[in-house]
Amino acid sequence: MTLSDADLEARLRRLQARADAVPPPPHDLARAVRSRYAAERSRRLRLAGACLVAGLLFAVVPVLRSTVVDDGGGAASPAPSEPTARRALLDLPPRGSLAQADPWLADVVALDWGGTATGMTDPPVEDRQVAYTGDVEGLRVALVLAPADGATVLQAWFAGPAGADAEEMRLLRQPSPAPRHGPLTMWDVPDPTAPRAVLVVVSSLGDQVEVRTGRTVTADGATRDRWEHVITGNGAGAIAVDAPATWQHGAQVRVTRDGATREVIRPQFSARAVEAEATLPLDLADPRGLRDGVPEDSLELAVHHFTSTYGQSADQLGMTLLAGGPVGGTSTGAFLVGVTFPSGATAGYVGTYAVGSESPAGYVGTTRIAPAGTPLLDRGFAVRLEDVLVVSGPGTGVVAEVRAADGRSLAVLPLVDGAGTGLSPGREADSVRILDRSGLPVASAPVEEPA
Amino acid sequence: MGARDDAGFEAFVAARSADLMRTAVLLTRDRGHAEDLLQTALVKAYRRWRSIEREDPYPYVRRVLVTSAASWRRLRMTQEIVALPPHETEAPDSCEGVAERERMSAALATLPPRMRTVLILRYAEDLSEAVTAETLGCSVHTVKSQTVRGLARLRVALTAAPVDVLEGC
Repeated sequence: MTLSDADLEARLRRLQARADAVPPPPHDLARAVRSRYAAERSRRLRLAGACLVAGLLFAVVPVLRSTVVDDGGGAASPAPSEPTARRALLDLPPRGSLAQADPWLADVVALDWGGTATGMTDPPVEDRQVAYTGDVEGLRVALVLAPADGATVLQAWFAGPAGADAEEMRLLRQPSPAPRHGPLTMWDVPDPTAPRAVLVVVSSLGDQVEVRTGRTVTADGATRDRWEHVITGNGAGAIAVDAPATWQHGAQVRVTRDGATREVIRPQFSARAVEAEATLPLDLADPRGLRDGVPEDSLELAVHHFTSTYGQSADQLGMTLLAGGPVGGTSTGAFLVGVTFPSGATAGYVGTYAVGSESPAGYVGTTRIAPAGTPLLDRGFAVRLEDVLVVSGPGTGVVAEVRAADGRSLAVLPLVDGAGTGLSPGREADSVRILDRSGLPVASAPVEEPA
Repeated sequence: MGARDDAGFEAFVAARSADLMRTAVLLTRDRGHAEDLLQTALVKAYRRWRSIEREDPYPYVRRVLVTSAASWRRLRMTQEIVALPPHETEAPDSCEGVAERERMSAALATLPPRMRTVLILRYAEDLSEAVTAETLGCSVHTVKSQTVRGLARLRVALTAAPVDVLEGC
């Protein structure tokens, strides 16, 4: 059966009703935004001084490395005899390296859930139960649960420095409802200046849990997800992940049980993990001196895209501004940022922006990934964004000849140091030849539209 | 930023954050991500509040939201959600409703982000072509062409991939 446009439009409109049913954002959203803005501003200042140190750190950290944390308390021990029936988390005893420390458990269960500050009612202490508590990667973590309506529980995550007293434990984010069988997750970034996160997962007994720690691009340009085991057996544990703060958007937790995947979810983020993301330094090389002509917001988008898609820092990806600037005769500008993956494969991120405006980037997208072999600065790029063409090639290139599929020359775009932006001659444009001063071709590229 | 600016910002958030949240949910299919996206867009707006509040800030914030969503897309993430546990649904739809939502969401997820965003703004958000173009920073012609191509691809995706009935339905 063929669906008419009217059918499709009606079905799309019905999605609105679904979205209308979504609960409203938190009532303290404005306050949270202001706090995040203030934190971002102060951290930007601090980061200006710390950037050099961070850059050195990025340089010496090899390809993303993650370390499974010894969870103590038998977290890593196999449990072949675990029952396969799922039990609600409130029916399970506390887990983690401090699960047997009774005085500590009593202190943790009595911690303030912040209800006074938010206008919510905290659950009675006698109803609460510690589901997980332990020292992981320099952190002391505790997850406290309380019964809620229906199929949910209320979760409150606390953290402090390793060895902290109960008074030093702070809420990682506002308590919220969660599925009563789990899995419950917390992705925290204890130090916003360090590209390192801690993930804690609390799930049912017998669940096997993995986390996606990044994506690897091979030399032939193929992309593969990297997964690491977090926990086995008792269903609760933690892992430290070396990744930029933006990877929280790419991270996924996969829960399997009896050999079958039960679900794949995104972890929950702590408030400081969200704040850390906003302080990501704009570490990108600018060998052609183009940066002043490209709005910072546009470059932020590029850095955010690559770091959050691959789980590696801008430095690890050799992020480079390849082309950028206004398109002659228009009020539009365009930019191209490239990366070199550790395997040598390369890719680009392109976008347009309104010249002289504070508006964010307009059209953005990614180029195809090219196999290893040609250095990023020598690779021929020709990307069409609506009416705009962005070209990059070897630095000796002075013009780009835009050709039709039958070889006809359609237009010539001047280049500076091998890069340029201009109006696209239209849909006929099929490929670009980049020529040096003597008219010899130094690179070529198919005209592509970004994904 | 002064107290007066803060008051204006708070009033704006109180009045329009639910609308923005709805858009964010449509763009991301994930409430957690939608919350992050909304907060990020509001932080960017707050940075420039003095200049944008002179007129209605809503179009500006919506544009930030939309462009951020397009660039923050998570590759294949939506396809990898293998099951949505029925017990987690706070207000369960009928099985047909769940299936329909999943079918449309999965089909939309196969479209390029820009195309997907155009369809969501045009139909789920019921914006005109002109407002959609303004929001995306492109021409009305682009919106028209993306709409035509998007509906065509959506048709193919819906025809090619009949929905799996969720366990428990």
